[in-house]
Amino acid sequence: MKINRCCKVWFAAVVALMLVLPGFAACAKEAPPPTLTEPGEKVREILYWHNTDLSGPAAGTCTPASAGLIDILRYVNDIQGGIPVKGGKIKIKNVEHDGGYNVDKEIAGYRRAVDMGAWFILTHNTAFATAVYPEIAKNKIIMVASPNPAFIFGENKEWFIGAWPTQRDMIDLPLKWWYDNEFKDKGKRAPIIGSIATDNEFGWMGVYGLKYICEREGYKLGPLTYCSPAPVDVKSQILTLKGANVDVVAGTQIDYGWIAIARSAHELGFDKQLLGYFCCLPYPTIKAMGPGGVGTLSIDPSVDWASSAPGVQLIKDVNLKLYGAGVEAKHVMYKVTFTYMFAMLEAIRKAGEDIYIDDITVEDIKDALSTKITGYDPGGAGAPVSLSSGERRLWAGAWVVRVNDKGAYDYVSDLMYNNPFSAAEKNLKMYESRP
Amino acid sequence: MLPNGVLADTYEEDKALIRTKAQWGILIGAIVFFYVIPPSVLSGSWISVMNRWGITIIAALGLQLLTGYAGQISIGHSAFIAVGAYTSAILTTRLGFPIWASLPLSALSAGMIGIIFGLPSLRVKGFYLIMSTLAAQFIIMYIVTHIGLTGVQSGISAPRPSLGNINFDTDRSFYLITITMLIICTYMAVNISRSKPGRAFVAIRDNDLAAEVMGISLLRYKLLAFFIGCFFAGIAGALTAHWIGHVSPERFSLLQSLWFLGYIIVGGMGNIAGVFFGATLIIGLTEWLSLGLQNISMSYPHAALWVAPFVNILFAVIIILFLIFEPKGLAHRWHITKANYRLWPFAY
Repeated sequence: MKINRCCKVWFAAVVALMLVLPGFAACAKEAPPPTLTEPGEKVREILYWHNTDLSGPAAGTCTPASAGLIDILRYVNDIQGGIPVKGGKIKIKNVEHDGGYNVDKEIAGYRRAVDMGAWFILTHNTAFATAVYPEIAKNKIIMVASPNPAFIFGENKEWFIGAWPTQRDMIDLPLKWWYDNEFKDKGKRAPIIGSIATDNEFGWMGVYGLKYICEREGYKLGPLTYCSPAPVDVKSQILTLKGANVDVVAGTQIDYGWIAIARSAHELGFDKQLLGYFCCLPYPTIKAMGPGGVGTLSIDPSVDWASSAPGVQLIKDVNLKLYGAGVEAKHVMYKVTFTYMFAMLEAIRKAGEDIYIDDITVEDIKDALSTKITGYDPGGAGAPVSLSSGERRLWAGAWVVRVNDKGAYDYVSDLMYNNPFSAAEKNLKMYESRP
Repeated sequence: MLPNGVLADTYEEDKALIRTKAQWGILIGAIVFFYVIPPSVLSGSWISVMNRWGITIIAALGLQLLTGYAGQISIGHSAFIAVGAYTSAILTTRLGFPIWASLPLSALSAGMIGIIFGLPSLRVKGFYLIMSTLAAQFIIMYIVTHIGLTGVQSGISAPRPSLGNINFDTDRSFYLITITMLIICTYMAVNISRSKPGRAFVAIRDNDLAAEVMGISLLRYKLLAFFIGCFFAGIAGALTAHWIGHVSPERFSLLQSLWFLGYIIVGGMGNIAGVFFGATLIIGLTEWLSLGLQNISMSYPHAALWVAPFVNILFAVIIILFLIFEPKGLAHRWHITKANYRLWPFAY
């Protein structure tokens, strides 16, 4: 191909423009929000790093989570003027880092977070969390992530907070509800539970949990199948499960996985109960799952949007203040991210009750998260939170929900509390072999 | 091409890697620069990027020799890196080997595994060989995720190296190891490409039938290419393990393997310098765009949510434009620039 000089000039110009654009965008600063502090009151800013996925396979889940975090921090910083502590107010600066569910990119971001002195890192990728977990105490950074036993029982556990229910709890609660309400009376036998999990750290945690649940409840464990984090088709896995005549399929999947499972199941006429991880609940995911996804059971650890609980009212009020117009129902990831932050903000507030604003350190907040959050009520938006050095999960329970044919989901149970971890589950050696 | 007036009088001069005082000056200057400036000037995160850059180049050098020089296309390169990473982590953590012993052993083990998966190259080539190396990617990763020795879910930790009383326990100190290994590997790769095997690789790449007729053993040299390519991957894997301090399977995906091909295609196939150009461009661009998005998110948090997907598109467009306008890679442009400079003021 003959390329003339004009093309080359265009090429150079386009590349230069593309390279310069992000820099220009960064230079343009938003107008500072109104200052809501009293004269003489100090304002201190701390950094909350969000390692999210805005462009990869988990974007459907992570984008609303980002929106939830941004909104509650705008509420704290712009509407409340910061978190009141001794001698002033603490504001939380938020960075949205798009890791694209790519561990290398996420680790690069983590290093930047450490450089920038971030106090918190919120992440949704178990593989990334596993990679940097050993460093968090050394780097003095509180990790907020999907919990797995290595984090909640591991060496650095006091630097860890479980922002989402564990993979095990996400199978345990809907499975218990399904067995009690839809299988026990008509089944007259132990149900056969199959699984489709992503073939990575995230998915394996669900499989370990499922094995434990089956052992505890006396259920029969069916085939354990795996797929990639972003599959387009899981028909072979569905056929395996169909061949084993399973009664229910537990899925530990992110959005793409759920879409593939629901569509493949529908195409093969596989109508057994699907249940598991709440990445099937974002509205775009429900829509993409289509008719095969209708009836899927999962959990929402936050209360129904229609509830009059003060926690949900606060979300509605904040949305009204920030965006003015009518507030649409927010789905699980937005609500969960918004409401889990209540306890985090409370820990910061309590850490600053006795310590002067300039002297507060990340270690004080870490300690407050272990000792000062007991029976904390997140405005009825979720189960009361009690954290200690041995309990790092922000969600003590959840509501079982079912995907409906209107592109949303319905609450089908009352608040159900998580089962405690058994001694076997706390044995970290168990996780060093294939589930 | 040498600068005007520089002529070789002896065979030794003709074979020398560095031929002029200016080249020596540039080389020493570059080495001093890379040892001194980044660790003293760059922040921790940028040092981390430099570590990734160096390790990526080491792995891509192997793929360049295998694919760019010998013409054996491999899309299982990250699996061979995984072999090096897991071998080193297992040797040091579970068997108590010192890192300095585990590093060459990891490279050797990756090289040996490479020979096994290189065997099909004796029978097949082109797309069929791609499929065979694709199998390597899946088989190796299947083994890694199914044996307890690798730590499966928890992964396996890999200690940071130390030498006597010197601990390389920070990114900044580890960078010195990375850059040293990068220099050694580059020197090895450049020399291999000029040696008898290197020329045999090129002959096989250009026409394997003609090469065989000329007396080049396809068996020997194709397997040697796989060994050398995977040996470099093993070094990169071991360095990755001890740099991050933890090895988990997520890091060695098929996508990662494809990116390694991307580095050498963008940089220039069959050219050692091309690896540097390709890795620098792609890693630099990734970091730059990521930094841009981060800054947008700090000023306009909600805007970042919808800008982010476009960043990937932007990245893809830039790569496509490079491929359209520089199909021979950035190294080709570099050679043209160098030739123009050396011929100046003459046009030819």
